[in-house]
Amino acid sequence: MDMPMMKKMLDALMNADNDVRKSAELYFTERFSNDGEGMVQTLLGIFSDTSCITIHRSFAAVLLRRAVEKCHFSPEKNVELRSLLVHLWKNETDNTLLKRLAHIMAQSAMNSSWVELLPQVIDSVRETFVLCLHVLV
Amino acid sequence: MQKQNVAITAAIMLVEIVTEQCPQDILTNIQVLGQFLSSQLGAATPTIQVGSAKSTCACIIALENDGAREAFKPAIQPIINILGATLSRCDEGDATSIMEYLVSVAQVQPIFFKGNIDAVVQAMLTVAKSDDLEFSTRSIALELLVTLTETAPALARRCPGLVQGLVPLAMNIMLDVDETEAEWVAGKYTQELAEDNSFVGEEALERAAAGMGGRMLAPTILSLCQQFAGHAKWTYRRAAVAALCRLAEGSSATFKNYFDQSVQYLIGALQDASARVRYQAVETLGRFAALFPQNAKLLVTTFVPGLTSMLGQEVICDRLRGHVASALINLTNPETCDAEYLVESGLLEPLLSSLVVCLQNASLEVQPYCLDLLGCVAQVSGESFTPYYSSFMPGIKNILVTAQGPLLVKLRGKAMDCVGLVGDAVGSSLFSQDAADVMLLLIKDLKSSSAEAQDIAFDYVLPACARIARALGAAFSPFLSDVMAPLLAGASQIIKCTIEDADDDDNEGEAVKDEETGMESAVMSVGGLKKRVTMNTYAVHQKDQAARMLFEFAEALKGEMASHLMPALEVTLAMITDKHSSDMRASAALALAKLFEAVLDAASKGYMDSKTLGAVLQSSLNRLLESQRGEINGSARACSADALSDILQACYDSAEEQADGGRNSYSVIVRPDVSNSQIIVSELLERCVESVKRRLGREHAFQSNEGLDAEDKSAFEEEVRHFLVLLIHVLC
Repeated sequence: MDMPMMKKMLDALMNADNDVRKSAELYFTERFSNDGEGMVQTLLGIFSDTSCITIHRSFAAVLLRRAVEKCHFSPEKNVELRSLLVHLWKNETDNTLLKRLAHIMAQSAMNSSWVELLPQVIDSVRETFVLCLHVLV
Repeated sequence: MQKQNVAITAAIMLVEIVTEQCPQDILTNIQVLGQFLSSQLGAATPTIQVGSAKSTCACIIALENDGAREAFKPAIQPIINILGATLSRCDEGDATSIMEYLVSVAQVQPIFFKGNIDAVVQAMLTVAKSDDLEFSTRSIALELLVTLTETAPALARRCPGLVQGLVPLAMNIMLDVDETEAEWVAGKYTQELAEDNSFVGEEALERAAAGMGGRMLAPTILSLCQQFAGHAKWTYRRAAVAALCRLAEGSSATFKNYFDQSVQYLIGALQDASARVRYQAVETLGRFAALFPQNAKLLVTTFVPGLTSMLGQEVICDRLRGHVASALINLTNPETCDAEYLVESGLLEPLLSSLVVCLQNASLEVQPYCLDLLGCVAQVSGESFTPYYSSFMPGIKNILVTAQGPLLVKLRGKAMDCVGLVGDAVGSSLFSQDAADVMLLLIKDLKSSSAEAQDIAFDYVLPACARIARALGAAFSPFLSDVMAPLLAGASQIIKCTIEDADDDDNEGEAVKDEETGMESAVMSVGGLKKRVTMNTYAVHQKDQAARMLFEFAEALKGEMASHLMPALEVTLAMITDKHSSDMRASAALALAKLFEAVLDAASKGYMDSKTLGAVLQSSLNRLLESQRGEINGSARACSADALSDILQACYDSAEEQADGGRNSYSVIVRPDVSNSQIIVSELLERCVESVKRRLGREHAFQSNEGLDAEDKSAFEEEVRHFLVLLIHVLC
């Protein structure tokens, strides 16, 4: 599924009309069962695209958390996904989106061990701190 | 620095999430986390401070390693300081969220507070006493104090500030009553009492008494009760009586020492000028009747005359009158009240006269309680009730006919209860004609497809039928088919249960019920994931009730159940291992034993052949042993063991009685064969081993818990005795 199509589906999934929402949910579930990894890629694409509106990025993150819960990634794909998540984490400045990202990362850690997650995140905070000090100086 | 703060806040939040979802990662990264969080507790930004305080608590809760947890101990004082700072800037939301975490620490790791308990207690007392704060904020602080008394009673007892501070605090909260006396007096009995803050104080007192024991708390509570009792304001006098009640409820063993003086005090409180104080005294009396059955005679002879007089007075407000009826129900509980207490003391006739008056002029809210009371009094008095039978039965039958519609469901249901109890009290010869009339009405209800009839079938109609069956004995047989059909249908219904992913926004512990379908759903953690579990709890309740009814019918009719016995056994066997409810499994196990006794009786009367009897015995024993194997609920396990014991005892009792009172074991009607007996003995020995292990595990947990000491030692698992008794039965 391409990004414009995904954005339309996100709108449909958030629609106030029950029928529209239900058919979108059905469609999403069907597409996800056919190509889970592809769906994860598209959702990551929406989330990482800072030109997308926040509500799309936020809802994409909600779906991404569920997708990560259900998908079984190969070890290589998992490393790739985690590296991207940490990269996104380091660059995100919106509190709500950071919270969504935290849930995705914790979900990934639940699926299979990710003991380096917390040290990585704490190190990144220190890096930001040093960077801020440089800016201030 | 803005970006820096966002990054730190987010990292702290991630730690909080990881503690919930991957707690093992906390121990792995304890050093990095400890340094990071402790440095952020001292941050300049309030958001970061609060986040670090919450994440630190989350880590403490997540860590199972005592040594690792100790590393966080220096964080307690900074967390208390942060709490103080949030309150100083009137940020009660953040303060509440920190205290909620501290409550969780007190629930799962109370010993963590050792060494700092005085500081924590003082901080919480300060918050809980602050009238300027929202009550919800104050009550969380109170909750932490009470939780400590429950989870670490020995630690709590060693903290004088807690004992001295908690009781006055709780009793002062008990004065916080919203309704004026006039508003309260105007309310109906069944109307929910206003959710006053006073209840929070009362519950705190009771839980603390139950948690740390009454020995430490009683002197402080009683001293304050004395002060409050002499106060001019009714709120104080009400609080004094309520405190007494809560102390008794929480610590009945200690309260025995104060029982006599409390009774004297209650005599005075029942005469109080305030209806609310009298109401509280009546409630306390009702609780005393339930808590101190050994003192039933004293309570009945001392208080029934006064309560009888109050019951008959139309001028008394509805709430008080209803409560008087309820207290009398407890006082005349057939299990604790002997006939002589009422009959020989001359209390029966005045009580029944008051009941006649009350049934005629009390509100519709109070009348159901009068019917309950009438049933209890009839049961207690037995044959002595016979002269009064004709004064009451026409009225009760009239209620059954005329009380129709949703508003009168309870009244009609209680009338059904009452008919059975009264009939059972006076016996079949006097009751049989009325019983036949009533059974026609009840069967009409059972056959009705209206929603109202369906609703009351298992709660009122079938239990009433069971009581009437007990009163009539074999004469009930003509009605049995009409009764057993809905009973067996209810017992064999399939319980709908689904488990699906919960929404991200759903909170764990959230429960909703659809009253129309009976479906109840709750969000819970299954394997670390949030799932929504939905179950038809209405069907679960009906099945549990059905098992109880099968017990009642089997006990009342025995072999007279005849052709209904095998279908009843079939549904009962299925319920014994039903995974949906331990209550249902316990009820079904006990019902099975009664049904087996009924089968033996049927066989002795020639309604059943001996081959069937052997098969019934084998399937019953096998199912009970199966239930023993996997049962995790202690009560269900005990009931299942009792049922096994009763069945084997019934086999033994089926033998001819000898001159010395013993049984000739060669003449038993049925018994397990030798190979089956070997399996039973071997299984029971395994259960004995498991039971001993459980007991040792609990003893070890007790001894290694610094929060407990000898005063908290309650009886350890006694079920091993069940199995030993069973073994003896099998060997006999």
